[in-house]
Amino acid sequence: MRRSWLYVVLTAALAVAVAVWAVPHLDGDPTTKVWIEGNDLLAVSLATHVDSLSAQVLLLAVGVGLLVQIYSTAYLGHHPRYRSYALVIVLFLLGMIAVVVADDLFVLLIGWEVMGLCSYLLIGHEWQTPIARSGAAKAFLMTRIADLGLLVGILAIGQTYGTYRISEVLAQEPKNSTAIGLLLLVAVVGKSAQFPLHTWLPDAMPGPTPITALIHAATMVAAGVYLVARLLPILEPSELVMTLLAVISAITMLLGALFALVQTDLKRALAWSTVSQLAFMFAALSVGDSDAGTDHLLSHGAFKALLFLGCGCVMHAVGSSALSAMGGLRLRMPVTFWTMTIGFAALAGVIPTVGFFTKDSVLHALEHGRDEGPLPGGIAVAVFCVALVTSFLTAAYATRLWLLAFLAPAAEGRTEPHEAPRAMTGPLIVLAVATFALSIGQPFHLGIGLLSTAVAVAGIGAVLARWRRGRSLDLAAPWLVAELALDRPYSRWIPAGLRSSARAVVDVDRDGIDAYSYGSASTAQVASRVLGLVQSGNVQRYATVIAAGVIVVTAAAVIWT
Amino acid sequence: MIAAALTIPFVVGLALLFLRTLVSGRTAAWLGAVAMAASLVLFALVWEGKDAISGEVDVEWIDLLGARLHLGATAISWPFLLMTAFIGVLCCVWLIADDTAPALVGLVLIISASSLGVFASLDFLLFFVFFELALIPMWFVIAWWGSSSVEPSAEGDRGGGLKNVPGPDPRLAARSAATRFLLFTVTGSALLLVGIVLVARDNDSLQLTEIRGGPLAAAVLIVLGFAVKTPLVPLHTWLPDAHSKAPTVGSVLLAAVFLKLGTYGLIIASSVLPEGFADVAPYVAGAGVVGIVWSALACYAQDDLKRLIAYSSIGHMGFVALAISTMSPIGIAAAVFGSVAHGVITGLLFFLSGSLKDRFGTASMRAIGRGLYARTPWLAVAFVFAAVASLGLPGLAGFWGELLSLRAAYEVGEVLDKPFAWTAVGFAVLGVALTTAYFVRAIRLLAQGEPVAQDADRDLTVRETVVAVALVASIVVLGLAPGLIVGLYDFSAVTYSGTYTPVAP
Amino acid sequence: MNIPVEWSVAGPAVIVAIGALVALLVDAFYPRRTWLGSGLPSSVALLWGGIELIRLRDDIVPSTFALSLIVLAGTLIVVVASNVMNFENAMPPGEYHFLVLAAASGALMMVAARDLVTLIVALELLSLPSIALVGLRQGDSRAIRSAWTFFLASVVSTAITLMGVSLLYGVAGTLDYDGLAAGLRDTEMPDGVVAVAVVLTIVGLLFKLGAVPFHVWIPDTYLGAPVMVAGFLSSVSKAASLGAVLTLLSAALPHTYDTWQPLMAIIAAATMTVGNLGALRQTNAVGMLAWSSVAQAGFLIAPAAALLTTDGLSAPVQYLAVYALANLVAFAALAVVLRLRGSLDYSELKGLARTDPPTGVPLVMAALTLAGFPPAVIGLVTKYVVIRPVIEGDHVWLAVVMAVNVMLGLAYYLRFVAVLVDRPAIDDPYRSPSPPVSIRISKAAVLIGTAGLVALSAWPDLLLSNLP
Repeated sequence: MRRSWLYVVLTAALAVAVAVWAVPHLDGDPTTKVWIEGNDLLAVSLATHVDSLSAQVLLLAVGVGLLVQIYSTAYLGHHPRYRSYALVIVLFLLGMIAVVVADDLFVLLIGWEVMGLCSYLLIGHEWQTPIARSGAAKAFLMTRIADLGLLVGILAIGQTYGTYRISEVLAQEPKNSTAIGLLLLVAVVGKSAQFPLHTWLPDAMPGPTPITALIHAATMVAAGVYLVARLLPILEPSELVMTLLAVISAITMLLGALFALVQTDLKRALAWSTVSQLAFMFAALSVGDSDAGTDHLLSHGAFKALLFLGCGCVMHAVGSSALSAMGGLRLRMPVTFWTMTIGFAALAGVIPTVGFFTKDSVLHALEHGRDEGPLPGGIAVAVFCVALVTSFLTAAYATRLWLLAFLAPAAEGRTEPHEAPRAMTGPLIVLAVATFALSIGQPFHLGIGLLSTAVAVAGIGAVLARWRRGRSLDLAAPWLVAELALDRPYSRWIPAGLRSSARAVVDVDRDGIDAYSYGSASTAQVASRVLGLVQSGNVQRYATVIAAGVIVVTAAAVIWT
Repeated sequence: MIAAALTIPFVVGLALLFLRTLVSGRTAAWLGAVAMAASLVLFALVWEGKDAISGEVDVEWIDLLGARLHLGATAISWPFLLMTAFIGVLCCVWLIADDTAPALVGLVLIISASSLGVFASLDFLLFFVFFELALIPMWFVIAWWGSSSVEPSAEGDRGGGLKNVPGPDPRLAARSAATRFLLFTVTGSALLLVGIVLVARDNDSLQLTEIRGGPLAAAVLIVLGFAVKTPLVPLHTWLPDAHSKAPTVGSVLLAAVFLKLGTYGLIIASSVLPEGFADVAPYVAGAGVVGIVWSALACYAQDDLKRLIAYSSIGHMGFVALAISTMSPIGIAAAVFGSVAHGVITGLLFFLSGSLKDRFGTASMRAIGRGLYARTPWLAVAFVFAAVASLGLPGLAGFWGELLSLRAAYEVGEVLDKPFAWTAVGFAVLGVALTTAYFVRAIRLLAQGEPVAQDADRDLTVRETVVAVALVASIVVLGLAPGLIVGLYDFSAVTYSGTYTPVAP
Repeated sequence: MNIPVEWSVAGPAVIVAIGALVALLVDAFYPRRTWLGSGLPSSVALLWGGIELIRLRDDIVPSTFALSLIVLAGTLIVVVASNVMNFENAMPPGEYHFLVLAAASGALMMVAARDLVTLIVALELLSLPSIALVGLRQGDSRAIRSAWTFFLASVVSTAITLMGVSLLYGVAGTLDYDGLAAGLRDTEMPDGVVAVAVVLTIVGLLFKLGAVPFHVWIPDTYLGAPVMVAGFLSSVSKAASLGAVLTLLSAALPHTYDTWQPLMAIIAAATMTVGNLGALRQTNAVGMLAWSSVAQAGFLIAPAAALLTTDGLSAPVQYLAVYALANLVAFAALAVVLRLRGSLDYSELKGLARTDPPTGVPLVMAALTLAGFPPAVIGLVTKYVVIRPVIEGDHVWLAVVMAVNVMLGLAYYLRFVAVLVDRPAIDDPYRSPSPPVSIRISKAAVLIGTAGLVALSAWPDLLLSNLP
């Protein structure tokens, strides 16, 4: 137990160092610093670029990271593999920091993939269970395959702009936006779990809950948003890319919210909620408003981490993440209840939580996207409408989860749950405070604010009304419960295709390609046997061979000349 | 100095072979490690800078043919030399055990020294002599120590097994694999010899420093010869058998060193025969990228861990071939880096699978069972590290070779035209994805899962730890400081004939 | 017909012929079955012939000198190594040495021949004693049958050559090589006739060389003959035939190059391929070496396809020198093994390099030399040497065929080597504490030959700069 604080101290030291570095930049000018100049051929230089955006994301990452480490001392402190767990978190934070501050795209890529690896290792922390193994493998494969888009995209950027430094790229006129944009989009869609590569995130939920809060809610999945925001100037000129981004985000936000609405598992519902919220950020980016997108990133990072950590407390108490095992926890776990209530309110967009303000900014940006920005007007309007619908659904499922987890009748036959230890509730309180504190200074748009409040109230009201009337909150929508079978290509078709083509390759390799070697070997053996047969010791046969030989050779010579 | 660096392992190796009854296996391995370490140190000290030929030795040899004993380290060969000597040291360290046969140590030394000779040769015929010299010792290593750790038994040879399909008898299977390896390689190298004669005729010289081009036929033959060794699809079928049947050190030497003879040869070919090589480069690139995808798919269906690693080598060599075929400085840097990185990473993988095979008597993943994380934690962690390095995680050695070769193919369009090169990049990227898939599968099957303890569960021993730590360290160092190797090349990269034209970044 | 006799050229042949007679006489008056008997004068005669040859070096065409030296040295090794043979019961030593030296004398004449009559006479002088040698072992029906096969092949080949020679005489009006060259250049005969004449003449010689499809007699003959006789046939006899072919082609038939060149190329390719394929399945050392000698003949002929370039003559001679030395080392070692173990099947040879290094290790070295594989660097270098003229003549296809055959050859040489160095059977009953003197002498010959191979491997220039 004491040992486990060692890693907290380590993380805290990292957090403090980063904070000391980042805080002066919060309002300051962007600074680019080259630490090690790269070789001509390799063109990798260790360079950093810190501006107010990256400073904010840095603080979010190390802040949530520190809270998660503290939380984990209680949550997983007795786990036999706690040491590797805690160290991988530190490695993850280093990767995240690299992504955020890197000015060199290759350094960014290193951080990007190190995060992916850590995510893989941490999802698979309970590797003895099949569900964790497959979830980890799926997450790693889908994100890494998508990452190849980033790899090729970086090559394309280097080819186009003649440099791999982000600051130098941004200093130039945008070129070749469509190709680069499409490649980056592949990576971002994978990392941030957007349609159609969205299915890995819910399946990553077997990972320890603090990890979910850190990696799969607050930081790594948001890195896609961060990357697009960083490179928005070179992507914006391409209408195709931005339209695609808008369409993807619209589909994803709606799907995520719908799936979240029907889940029977709290953690999985929150995962779908994350997918949906990330899509909100992309929607803002697709109309060219990177501030709205990144603000929502920060606020979502805070309140979603809060929700997941709270979920962890609940799971700690009831031993399961199924909603059916919960209920009646309001009085038993007051701290968790109140902090999570704040988190759900932020998710639903209730004033004055930060969720309200940042969602307001996103909707405002979308509304303006019709007239200005890179999107065609019609698309912008459509995305705006989808966002409103999603807001309604978000409020609805947030309310539903809140009701089912805390206010519903307690599940029968379970031992009485207790409030989580202080190391776990402490971070909840901090994050709950942050959910309000971050509201300070956020922009506010009256018309949109009223509209979104109305939508949220409608969503909350609809669920409450149903609840009041004593109806079940589980929607009878088998298609939605099955998540539209969108995972089937990844869970069945592709692995099956891979397995059968792999078997085919092995067979062809052995029986097809190798045929030339075995074929010539056996031909040689057969020829050798035939020669042996001629060698019978029968002189007459020899004479025949010789005579034939003489005739053939002579004839050949004559014909030749 | 180079002469000494080559002679020491040769002499010690021969001595161990002939005096094998006088020393214990442990002593022999120590001797071998010391000899290889001396060689490594000498090769490291010989360096005189990237613009010169370091430690050049040039002595008359076969006057009539114009062949000379011409040795030296160039910017291209030096990383290969160091890597080979390093792997040689580790192989000997690995063999520090009671059940080691002294003759095996001797053969390992001779194989390492011959490979060093190949990399150090600046005379094409001498190059060829060293190239061939390593083959027969390797045949014995595979045929005698392969598949089982016992020496051939009295009734083992039935005169058969020469080209037979591997039979149930493991000894015969190992022998057959060894013979297939040898015959494939010798076919290639015989074609190579013809190519060398062609080149020598056109240039009236055998010195790599003097050869300037040659006919297309020479390029075709030489590339074919090296393609067997590298190996490029479809000339690769000898490799899985040989690698999986060989004993641990044999697999390591095959993968880490022998395949590099092929890639190094291709680099030389691209350097000394620029025109001819440019004509065949598209085929090299095509075979390379097809090999990446092909081998990755084959890996996905493997149960035998050593076979899986063997197939994965084909894929990695595909990246190197792709890089070489661009004939650009960045491609050369990629090829050298990729080769060295593959040497250390696959060396580690083969050492670890050798550890598993030593413990469980088989490399079948099903037989070894799941949950090694719990059963042999450090072994499992090292394995996962090696797998992750091999699938090209950025920040580890495997990444830079792949990245640079993709970059070379993507950016440099002088030898390969753009649509072709970009298709190649597409294939290569698909291969990377599949590589991730099969390594994740291997990790799932071995490291993760509900552990079922077996009697043979033992974590790394001291010698295994030493080897693993050395390789892990080198993988990390190369991954974090790729400039160590790439820094040897710049836009006017040193080549044997200086034929590369500068290419804008 | 006026045939000038160049005594400077004929000298060594005459000395060897005299040696043959002396050997016969010594045996008649001083019959000893050890090396002190007829073997000693034979060796002395061969040495003396060699000295004479070296003394006359400046007067002789380089290739003829080299070939003569190979013949003399080869015969000397045969004679010395023959000590181990079973003279006691089956082989009369006097006749044996007489026949060997007579054949050697014929071989010397053959390589020196500069006109077709000399060639035919020399051919007979080489062939007839050789046939007798093959069948010399008394009461051995297999030897008789081998001799019979060999005899038939010789007769046919001589007949065909004679036919070709007479046709050539008809075309050119002379049998002198220089005259033939001029005559064939200026002839107005139809091309077909000239072609037939040329081809028939060459074919007869190719018989002796064992080129495909005239190789069928070789395996049977070698397997039936005493081991050292097989060694003699595979080295000395082959050297003589090769010398005759090369001289004939370059001196007498250069203007019919277009006729014989493609033919020689195809025959070379077929010979090496058939020989190697035949050797693949052999499990008897002599059988393997017999087929391998067919294959090696292909490598010897191949440079002839590019004969009109500078390396054309020297390349095959250099190759031959190494081949003959390696082959003789192998046969001599096998003769020792046969004496000790009574069989040359692979099962008998297993682990020989460990149980009896003085014979086993030379066999390994010889096999690697024949395969052209390091550590026998000289084998590799001579492979390079014979491929070079083929490339110079722009016959890349033939060079590729040669390359493939290097691989094929390695397949069975390696198997042989693997047998030799394999772990021996536990009980090795053949180890005799003190071998008789004759075995020691033979082993000495084997070791000296091996030392030669090792020295050449370390310093190939020793050979390449001293033979033409």
